[in-house]
Amino acid sequence: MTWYWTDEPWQYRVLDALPSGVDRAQLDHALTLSPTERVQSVMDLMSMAEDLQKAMQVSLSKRP
Amino acid sequence: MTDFPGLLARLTRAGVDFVVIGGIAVISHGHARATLDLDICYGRDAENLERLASALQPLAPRLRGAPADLPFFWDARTLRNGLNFTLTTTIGDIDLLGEVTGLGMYGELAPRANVVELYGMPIKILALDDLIRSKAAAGRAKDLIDLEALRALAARRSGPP
Repeated sequence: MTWYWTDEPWQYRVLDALPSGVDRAQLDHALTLSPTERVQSVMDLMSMAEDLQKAMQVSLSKRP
Repeated sequence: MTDFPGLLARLTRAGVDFVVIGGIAVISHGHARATLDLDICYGRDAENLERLASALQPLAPRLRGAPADLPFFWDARTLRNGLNFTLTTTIGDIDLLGEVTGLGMYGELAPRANVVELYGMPIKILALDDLIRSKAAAGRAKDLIDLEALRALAARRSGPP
């Protein structure tokens, strides 16, 4: 077996070996937004996430 | 920016059979992470395909990332001829999955789903155990990160209070 030295971080090889989870169309869209719009989008999501997690707690508490 | 409540309301009002999967399901079970789209697994029976097509039709769905001039006709027939669709609409991005890797189709997921009351609507959310199985099967880097948190959440739920 021959070993080759590489400067590439080992994490890159791990990521390359996994199926891609990057949606490039969504990245392109995100780049069309201003930083303020991106932050607002995350804040809206987090607000919904809070409502969703409360709703899930209620649902789980009703289960036998 | 995706209007999650708007998409959920439109699907629910139209009577579409669906289970929320993906990032929103991950968030609902307690792992704080961001997502840009709504992922659902939908029923593949003919009536549901009609309801789903009609519900999204006013939102001018298009294939996400496809060239703007690529012809795309949205109706129940398009749904029937495909299985999984990554769409962009006038109120945000939605992924429609006819089958979830590692789990199966709507009929297999729905009976185990958690039903939550959100904004006055009953919404089915993929059960935590199913979510863990789907993330393990998908195997992307972001799924593995979710997987670690979801397994920890499952352990906390089943452990002593």
